[in-house]
Amino acid sequence: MNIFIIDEKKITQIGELSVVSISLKEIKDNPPLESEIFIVNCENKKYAKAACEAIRRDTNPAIYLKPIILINSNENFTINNIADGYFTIEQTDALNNSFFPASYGSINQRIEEIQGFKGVKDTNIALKVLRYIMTRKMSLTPFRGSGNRFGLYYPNIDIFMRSKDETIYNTLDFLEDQNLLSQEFYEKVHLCIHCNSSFLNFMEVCPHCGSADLEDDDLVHHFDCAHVAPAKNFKQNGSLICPKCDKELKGLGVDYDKPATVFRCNSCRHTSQNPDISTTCFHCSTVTEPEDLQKRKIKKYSITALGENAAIHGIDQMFIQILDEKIKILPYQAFKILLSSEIERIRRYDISKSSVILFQITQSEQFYAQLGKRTRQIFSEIGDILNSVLRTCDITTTINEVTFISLLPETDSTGADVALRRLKEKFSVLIESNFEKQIEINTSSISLNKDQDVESVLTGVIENATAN
Amino acid sequence: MQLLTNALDFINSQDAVDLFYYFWFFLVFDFSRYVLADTFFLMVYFFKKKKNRPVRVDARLRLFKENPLISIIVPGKNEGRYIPELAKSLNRQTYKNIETIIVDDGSDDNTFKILRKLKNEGKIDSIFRNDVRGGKASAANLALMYSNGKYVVHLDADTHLKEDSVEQIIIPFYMDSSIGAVGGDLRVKNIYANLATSLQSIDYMKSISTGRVVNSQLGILRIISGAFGAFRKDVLDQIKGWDVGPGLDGDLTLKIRKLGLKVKHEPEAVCYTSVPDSFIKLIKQRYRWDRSLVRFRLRKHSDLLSFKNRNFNIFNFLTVVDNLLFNMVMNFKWWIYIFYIIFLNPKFIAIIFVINYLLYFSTNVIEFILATKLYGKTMRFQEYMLIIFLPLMPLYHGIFLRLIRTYAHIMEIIHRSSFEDKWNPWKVSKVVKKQRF
Repeated sequence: MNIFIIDEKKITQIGELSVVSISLKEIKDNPPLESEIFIVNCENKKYAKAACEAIRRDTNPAIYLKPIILINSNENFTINNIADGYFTIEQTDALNNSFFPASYGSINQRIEEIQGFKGVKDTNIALKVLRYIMTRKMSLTPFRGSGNRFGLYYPNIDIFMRSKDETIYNTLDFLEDQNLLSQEFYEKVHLCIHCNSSFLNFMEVCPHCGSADLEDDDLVHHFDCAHVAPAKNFKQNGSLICPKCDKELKGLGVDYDKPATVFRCNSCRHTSQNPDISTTCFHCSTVTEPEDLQKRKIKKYSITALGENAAIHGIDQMFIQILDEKIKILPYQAFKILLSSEIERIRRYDISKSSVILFQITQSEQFYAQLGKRTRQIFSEIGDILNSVLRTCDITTTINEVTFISLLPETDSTGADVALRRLKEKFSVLIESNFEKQIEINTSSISLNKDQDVESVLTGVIENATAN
Repeated sequence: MQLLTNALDFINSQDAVDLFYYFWFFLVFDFSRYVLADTFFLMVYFFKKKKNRPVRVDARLRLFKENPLISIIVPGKNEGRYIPELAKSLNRQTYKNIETIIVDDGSDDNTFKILRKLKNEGKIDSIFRNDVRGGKASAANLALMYSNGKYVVHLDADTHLKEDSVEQIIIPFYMDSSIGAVGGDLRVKNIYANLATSLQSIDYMKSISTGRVVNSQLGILRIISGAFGAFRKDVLDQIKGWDVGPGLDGDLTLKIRKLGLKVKHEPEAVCYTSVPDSFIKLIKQRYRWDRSLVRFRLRKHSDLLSFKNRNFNIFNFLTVVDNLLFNMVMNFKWWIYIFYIIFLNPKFIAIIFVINYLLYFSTNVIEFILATKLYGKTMRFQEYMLIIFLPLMPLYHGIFLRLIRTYAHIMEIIHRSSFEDKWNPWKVSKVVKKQRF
């Protein structure tokens, strides 16, 4: 069994267990695809966390989905929630070979079921989340903690993201929206309108001047004389004496009661029974009325049958289906046959010029992270753009949901560049109006000639785009 | 008609001494007190009003120049449905520097929700809520505790005011600095809900409007109605607000009088209020009111009748005497009169009844005319139309109310039944009953 350990001490034996040592740098630069389980030594917590992040943020399903086991951990380590299992220092010494396959073999079996597109990595965060949940056969339950601004977070998928913002919630919204995950209400959180933090200080404030310097006191109603005043007005030498009739009060419920509480402002002396409530954000100090706070439902998620299917076969087909409503997207293999036929036609007659163009949305992780529930709408608009720029005789395919390749018959390199420029302009408008963070587009074009073959054309157009 | 002819024959056949013998009750008490005295002192009022017009104009100017804060306090339970109309009338007042404090005394309906909405809309200034009902006095005292005005106006929740009522009720304080409290003029707003409310409307015109103006002129006004009354805040603080009722309005008024301060009725400060809309509710209300005469005038404030009292004041003495004489003694005397007629002159009962009815009817007509004169331009068409109910007033006032009053006095004298009244929460009644005035 291939068990790799990431630690600083280069150990090769844990109890009876033989392991292969690997450094943090190696896991980042050249992760071992053959590894079945990653063990992370928690003697250095910071190092252990970085190791877990390096594994989960990889884009290869053969790496980021693999079970992570922590050793020398502690019951209170927050990174325990990130891993698939952990062993305390005492438990670590008792580890043996037979333990791991029994406990974690099923995860690896499900990883085997995933048919990743050869050469294409899982840059799509939604797919990563889906595949992670599918391989663990787990319900995604939020944890309570201060590590996230919502106060409730999903540590085992949060780790996929570099930024600690609400990206993961948008992703989950999207997956739920596509019926890939089913949800169950867990809790509702109130969030700062400015920074989305749920760490808010709710304060009773004076309705007159807004000061939080309030003192509350019970009102006392003396039955004998109907006098009503704050309890402090009755207090004399440890007894309660009515300031109206000078009688000593006998007992609560006997000759007096406390019908209400009042709040007195130490700033403006205003008295009220109903102070206003104000919230101050612990992160950004924004003061907000409770009714103006953002509210967000935090949910517990389970994978649906559709989700399991998408996790195994990828979710790019789903995006293509959306695009397909606007423009015909050919399967990649069919596109290659038509491209081959076009190259052959040029070779035979040598009278016309055709081109292949590519455009690709970069920072795909951010792209999906910001999409959330708008995914269907945005992909529909992408379809509109393609439809408006390309001709009906042009043929388009995708190699994943962010990379589009089109064959433009009877179009020289100048015409291809015009088409690309128009596409880029229209995409820029779409991105500016829908995305907060910068999303860039790579483009490239290649003119077909009689000396090329299909693979060289496709490789060339992909490499050119990367080089741009 | 035959009875009427017989009645006229009966009158013609009797000499003056005999007539007095048969109708002394009417002539000595009702006619002299409620026709002659009311007419005379109402004339005095009109004369003084005209004479004091420049003083009143000056007082109004000084009021608006000083512009003191006036606290409007409204205690109530389950009366949220009335508050929007009340708040609307307060926001329309010609005098603007007012704060509205509403106390929800343990309502178990949507009152507090309505109050919160009105507060959020800025239509009322403060709301307080007792989680458990404490009774009207404690609710009023709670509002008093947190009122900031120089004057406090107490309103019932089911009322609304004429546009200038707040300034009209405050002006008397600027005409005479020895005034401690001013009562507003109550008009019925549900006049034609049914016969009960129509008869009460005429009664309000006579007893509250005319009656209190006359008592005010005589310096023997004994009640500032809680439905619409204005008080100097310093005076209320001095007497520490309201004591446990029922009848707390009259009690408060006598407490103010005991301080040597004057109390006045201001007929130009008009307040429209709802009266009980069934005879059963009316009986309960009058039963409660009438017992307070015994509880407060006869018991709690009996010191006002004592010449040995260090603070003896002839007007305070007359206030209580007038109240006791015409509402209690004469009430019992009326029964004596009835027995006297029945047992000594049984053959003339029907004739004497008819003549008495005509006499009391005539009195009601005169009193109605006096009230219309007092109302002046503020008299509404619907109030003029009440004239059709005048024939019923001798029965309403002379028999119906008298029966309730008699029963109330007996029950209070013998059983102190006001302490059992559900008007107060049981917890309060239980404690207060042990008190001995």
